[in-house]
Amino acid sequence: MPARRRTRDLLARASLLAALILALVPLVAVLAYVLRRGLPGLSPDFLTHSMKGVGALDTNGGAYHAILGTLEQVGIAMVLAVPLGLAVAIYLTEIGPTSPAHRRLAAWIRFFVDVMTGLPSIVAGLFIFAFWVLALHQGFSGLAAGLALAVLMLPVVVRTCEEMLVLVPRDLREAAWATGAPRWRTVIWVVLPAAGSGITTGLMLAVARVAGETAPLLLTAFGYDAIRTSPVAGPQAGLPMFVYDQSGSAFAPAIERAWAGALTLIGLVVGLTVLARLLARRFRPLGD
Amino acid sequence: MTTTTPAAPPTTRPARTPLREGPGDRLFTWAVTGAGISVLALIVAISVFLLSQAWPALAQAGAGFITEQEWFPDAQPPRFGIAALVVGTLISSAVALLLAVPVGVAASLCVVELLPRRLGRAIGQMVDLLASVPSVVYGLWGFSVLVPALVPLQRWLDAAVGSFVPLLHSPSGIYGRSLLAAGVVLAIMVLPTIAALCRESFLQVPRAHREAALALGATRWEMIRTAVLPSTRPGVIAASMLGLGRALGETIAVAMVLSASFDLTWHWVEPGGVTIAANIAAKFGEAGMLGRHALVASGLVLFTLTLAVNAVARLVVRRSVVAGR
Amino acid sequence: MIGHGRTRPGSNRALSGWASTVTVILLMGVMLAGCGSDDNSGSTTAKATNATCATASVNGSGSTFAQNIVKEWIKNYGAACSGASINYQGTGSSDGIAKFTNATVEFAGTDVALTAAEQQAAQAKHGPVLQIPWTAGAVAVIYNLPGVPALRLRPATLAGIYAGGITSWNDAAIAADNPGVNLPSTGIQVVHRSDGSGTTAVFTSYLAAVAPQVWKAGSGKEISWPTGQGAQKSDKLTETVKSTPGAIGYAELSYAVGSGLTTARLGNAGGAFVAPDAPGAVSAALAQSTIGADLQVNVNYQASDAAAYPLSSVSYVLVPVRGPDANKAALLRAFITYALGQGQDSASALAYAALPPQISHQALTAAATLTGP
Repeated sequence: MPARRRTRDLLARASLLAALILALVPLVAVLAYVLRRGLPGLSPDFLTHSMKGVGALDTNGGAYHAILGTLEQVGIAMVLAVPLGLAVAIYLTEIGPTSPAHRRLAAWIRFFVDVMTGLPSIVAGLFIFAFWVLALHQGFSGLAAGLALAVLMLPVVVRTCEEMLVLVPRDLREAAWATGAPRWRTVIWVVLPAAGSGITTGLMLAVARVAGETAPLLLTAFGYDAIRTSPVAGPQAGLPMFVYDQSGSAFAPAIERAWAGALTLIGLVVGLTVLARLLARRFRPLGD
Repeated sequence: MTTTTPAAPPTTRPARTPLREGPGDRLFTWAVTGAGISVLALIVAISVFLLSQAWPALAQAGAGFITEQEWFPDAQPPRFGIAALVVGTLISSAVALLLAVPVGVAASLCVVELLPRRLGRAIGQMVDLLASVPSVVYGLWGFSVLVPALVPLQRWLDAAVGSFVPLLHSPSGIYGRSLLAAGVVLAIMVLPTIAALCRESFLQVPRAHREAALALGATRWEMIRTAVLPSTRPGVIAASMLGLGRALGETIAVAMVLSASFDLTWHWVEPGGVTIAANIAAKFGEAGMLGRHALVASGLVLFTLTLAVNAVARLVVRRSVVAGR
Repeated sequence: MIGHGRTRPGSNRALSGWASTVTVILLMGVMLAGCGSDDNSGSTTAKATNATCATASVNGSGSTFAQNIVKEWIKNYGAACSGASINYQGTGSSDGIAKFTNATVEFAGTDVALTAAEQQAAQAKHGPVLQIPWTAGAVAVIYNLPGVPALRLRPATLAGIYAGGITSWNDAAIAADNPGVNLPSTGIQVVHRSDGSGTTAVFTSYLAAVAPQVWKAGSGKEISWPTGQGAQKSDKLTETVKSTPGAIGYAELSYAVGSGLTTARLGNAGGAFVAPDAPGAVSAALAQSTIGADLQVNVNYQASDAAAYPLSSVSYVLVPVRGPDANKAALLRAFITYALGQGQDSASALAYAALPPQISHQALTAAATLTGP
């Protein structure tokens, strides 16, 4: 092989590797920096106390109320978006191909679901703010935040579930139909189980995505200093908003809480993602 | 797009449809069809609401909404427009793409083609994981670490080429929280998205194509150039467009990093400029009645912009899928 | 990776996978629900109060300027009255007014008195409303100029800097204000707020009042700035000034104190240069201000008292005269009364200023009229 080609190959390989390192550097730098700034403030007290009655100069107080709020808001978003999204995905893969009319409708739905994955989160927040808070007079609440997050989650859920359902071999459905099982039983007892692991992973990733959203919370959950267990009782805190609020303070104790909150938030999101991978392994279909 | 649904493969097997279609099935079909239609209803609801809330502002501003470079919707008389917002949004997103696409493509090529499979998969998963680092964290980090670190680079850029490339010149001699800095933060944020989608696309190239190229005596780089890149171009374009969609709509990180002054600026390295999303976050708290309508109107522009970008991306992918079949 | 289908019928993995995901999240919630605490009394500095207690829950939002002291009051009041639940979020004055107007909050904090139209809209929803002044503070002029610890600025000089006429730190006008000080030739980097802000309204009103010949850019929460770079919210503004040599900016005193930046001494009508954190400086300026029957304080930027810091402002609480219900009204009345009385003692530690007696007396009288429906 001529030396020139070999040199070019080596150069290309080196620059690809350099690009990978360049891509990983900022990502690692972010994590390392958040860890360094966040660890000093991350104490059991921080994780178990709210901000109720904490003055601007006080060093105590924590993110407990915000963690609880985020879990509830994300839980509400899941309960709303997952069944609906799964149903849409089932329509796209199971009913969509059955007739020309359905095929046309499915194509439109698929197109708009794809387009909706790019919906800016602040637009979702604006939508729920005017629809739920202003038009329906429901006030700020964890539920309103859950609705906004559900709007953001829905297209991701549909996409993921559809991709996984498409991968289920057609033979499997036909085999079930051949035994006389109706379509709906086939879907619920054969198709969904076969796609189980992929769907679970996709859902967890969707959850991780929306758990870190700040912009919609500012317009829907509003924020609250004390523990509010009920998501419908009024304004509620959320972890991303906690970080944003605390980082805007003039005083050092709040800045430390902001970094500790950022670290907690990353921990929560990364924890969910890792859990998704583990669950995916646990629920992998037998034949894999 | 109605032609894009793949035709059912010809088959002669007996059970192409269920043998029994009972009342349960009819209910099932209705239910999931209803779910599907609810997605369309949702997007219509979002559009209708945004339009109705934006209307008072749009009616007030008229054509000035496109051309006006200032944002004083609550002044008497109100004057506001999206010219500066759109320019700032496009510049910061362009910077992000200029940086993130080459790096993302090269990094995912490295993961797929060069690294051992196991290591590649581990690194790929790590990058996925970083895609879910919340934007408020990127904002905090960008403001306190990245912006100071970028000042010398921006000064150097200006000194080196600023005299004949006005884009990279800072007339005021101030550097720091500029559109370039916002673009770099956005690049870091969209990089995982672009890399993950490119990786998926590269993984779909049949092994046989690669082996054929290698068997003909191609080096690894030549194999990548001839067997992998051409067939995955639509995938790479779509990944870039989706990255662009994310960059256009990113709110909190830009609001925290950019020195958002409301002016139409072409100078990438000078503090200033503003994006649609960051402007909404910054102005919402102090906006009056018309001010809120005006912000919703700018949100409508953002919505339309991201809708268009995503639509184009999807059409590129769909066409390539159809062509590939 | 998805299955070539040997799946056991009956073991529904998708649903169980989903169910377990939900279960995990719910479990995390339940586990958490038991172990958290609202009780931060252990190491806080709550002061004992003799406030009247009321049992209710009220929400407020608005002024970020007043946020720190309002939260301090909530802390101290809550320590004395366990049945009271008061929530305040500093989301910006206009946001507070908007939320108050569509009744999503029961009270709002605002740095700028309501316009006639805003007042009309609020009254349409609530009936008569009151804007009661409840705290005061200084807007500090902060700068980043190592080696110059006590910069002195006359009104015309400050206006000249922000109007773009004075561009370097050794300008003759600045030198004239600072005799004997060795000023560097560094360029001046003007920083202003990019979001709408009550602080900007106070700062620009001051410039328009004290240097009308130099300052022609008008006043308001957002204006068209002749020069300089913008920064969002006070924290980003102070950070920008801190990281930019030669920078000058303005922010609530608490941000100047918190960031450790030096503050300029501003020339007043009494011929003296006063720092924003000088004891009694804000009260001295407000003591020469007038308060109208509508409780609006017209800050006198040209107070003749030599001890007065002229760039001072008052923040208001916006409440309905007739509360949404008797308990909420009682809580609002008791809380505002506490804030105007004992609450004023918390001011200086948090970089605010106590209201002078002639203002707080009138405010207390107004607060006593708050009642149920």
